[in-house]
Parts: sequence; C-alpha cells; structure tokens
Amino acid sequence: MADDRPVIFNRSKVVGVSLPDEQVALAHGYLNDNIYTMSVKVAFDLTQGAISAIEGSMIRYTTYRCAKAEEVFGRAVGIPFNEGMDSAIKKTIGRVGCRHVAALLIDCCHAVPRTLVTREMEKGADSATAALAVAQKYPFLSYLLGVKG
Amino acid sequence: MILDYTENRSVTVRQSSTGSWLAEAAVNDSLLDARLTLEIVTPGLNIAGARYDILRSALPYDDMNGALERLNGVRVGPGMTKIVSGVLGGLKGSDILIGLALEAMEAIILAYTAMEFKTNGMQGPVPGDEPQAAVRLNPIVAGPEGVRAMAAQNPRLNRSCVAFMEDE
Repeated sequence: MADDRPVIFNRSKVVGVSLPDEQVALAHGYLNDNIYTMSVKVAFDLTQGAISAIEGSMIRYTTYRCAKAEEVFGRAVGIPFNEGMDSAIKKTIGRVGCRHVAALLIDCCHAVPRTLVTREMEKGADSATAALAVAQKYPFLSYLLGVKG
Repeated sequence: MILDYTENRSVTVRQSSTGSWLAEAAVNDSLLDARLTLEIVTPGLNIAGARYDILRSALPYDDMNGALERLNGVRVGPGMTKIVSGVLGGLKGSDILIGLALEAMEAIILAYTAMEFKTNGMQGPVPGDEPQAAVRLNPIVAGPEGVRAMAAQNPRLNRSCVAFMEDE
C-alpha cells in the first residue's frame, strides 16, 4: 500500500554541464527546497584547470545575511581543480556567504569530470578507458576520476 | 545549447509507519541512478538503518551496504561529516555515497528547521533593519534582530552558518 503521509522536507538540485569546446566547460546548478531557492552558473577554463567565471543568485532564503552570498561569488574565480578545491569553496563561499550555495557549486565542479567521461563513453569507450582518456587530457581532474557508484 | 551532462539530486524526508524518519537521497545523472535511504530514530536523531541501491551505473561499483551498517548509531548532528567520511571513504569507499549520506542527514536537520519555522513563524524584518530590495522579494527574510530571535527560538541554528555566528 502506498504511503499516505505528507513529505516533511523535500530538496531538489539540478546540475547541467555543456562543453562548447575543448577548453571550456559551462555548468549551472539550481537548488529548491522548503526553505531555499538559489542558482549558480560557473565556467571552467580547462586549459588552466580552474574556475574562470561565476554568477549566482540567492532567490529565496531566510535571513538578510544569506543575500550577501551574492557579493562573494567572485572570490571563487581562480580556484583550481585539486584535492583542496572543495575546502577552498567551503571557505571562500560557504563560510562567509552561504553553505548551501557552496555545496551546489561543489556539485557543479564534480560534474565536470563526469561530463567528460560521459562524452568519452558516448564515443564508444568503456568506463576505464574513458576515465583514463580524460585523466591524460586533463590531469588536474585525476583526483576526481576514481568515479564509481 | 544542448547539455552534455545532466544530474538530478533529490532528498526527501518523511515519517515511517513506525514513527521513525526516513531520509531518502537519490542521484540520477548521465552515469548513475542510485538511492540511499536512512532510517533515523527521533528525538535522538540516531541512524537505525541504512540501505544503498544502485539502479543503473555506467561505471564500476562495489556493494557498499556492508560499510553502511557501520553508520548504525551515528547521530545526525555536529561531527557527522567526519564520521561519515571515515566510515564510507578511503580507497574502497565511495565519494558519491558519502555525498548522499550527508545530504540525507543534512535534510533531517533542515526538516526540523522548516517545521520550527512553520510552527513558530519566522521573525521578519523589524524597524531599524536595513531596507533592501531582497527583503521586498522575500517578505519573511529576517533582519539582524530577527536572526537573534530565530537563534534564541531555535538553538540548533547557532553557528550553523554565517548568519548565526555570534560575532556577526
């Protein structure tokens, strides 16, 4: 029998990534839940292996302080892909802006190597070959390519 | 522009027939469709059960349900990030599973917060708070006084983010 109780809390996050050319990845993330709505758009320079541009919008939130996250998005420009990337985003955006939008930005970052692996697999490579090809072409993403469920 | 990759994540918190809470975190992206369910006993907020199901994966994966059993008894609250990363991480671990577990646990906290806001109401801007367009678009956004009132009403919010830091 189907559960007939209402949901107490519901959060949805959507991330999309496009690869307009070999040097750039563009990602967007959107978060909506009972308390918050926010979005972020971010560009990655795949020749440098870093965030190259970012915009964000705090759409629905709880305190006057949340909106100030929009003032610190620019500080994420230049953060490189490496094992310290998540911490750098949490420190730069999460600690002084909004930790929820920082987590959304991290989701966008983690989606980049998965996008590149997806593209290789769509060309016919198996998962191991695809991950290796991406790691060879974009070595700064290697730390995120232990991709598994 | 056509997307080369799409990812949908969701977290749902609901009450089970036994009175415990179930937090279900799911990810469905170009490579993976997976779902983690945590059973949380209230009011202690301890994990009483966990299950991870992979419905589709283009990538190799290990059955992590054995490791998940070690989450039993872990409390949703301060320190959970370190504990979950320790239990589910490492060479044989899964960063995706860690992410799902933490999203599910975070959703439990947010569910409580949302319920308290609904029950007690949120303190809106008070005279003296700086007027801003954002407040007009979000009519129940709390100003500095409202933040202090919220923190007093819901101690769980203290130090939860920059808005609730004592020195702000």
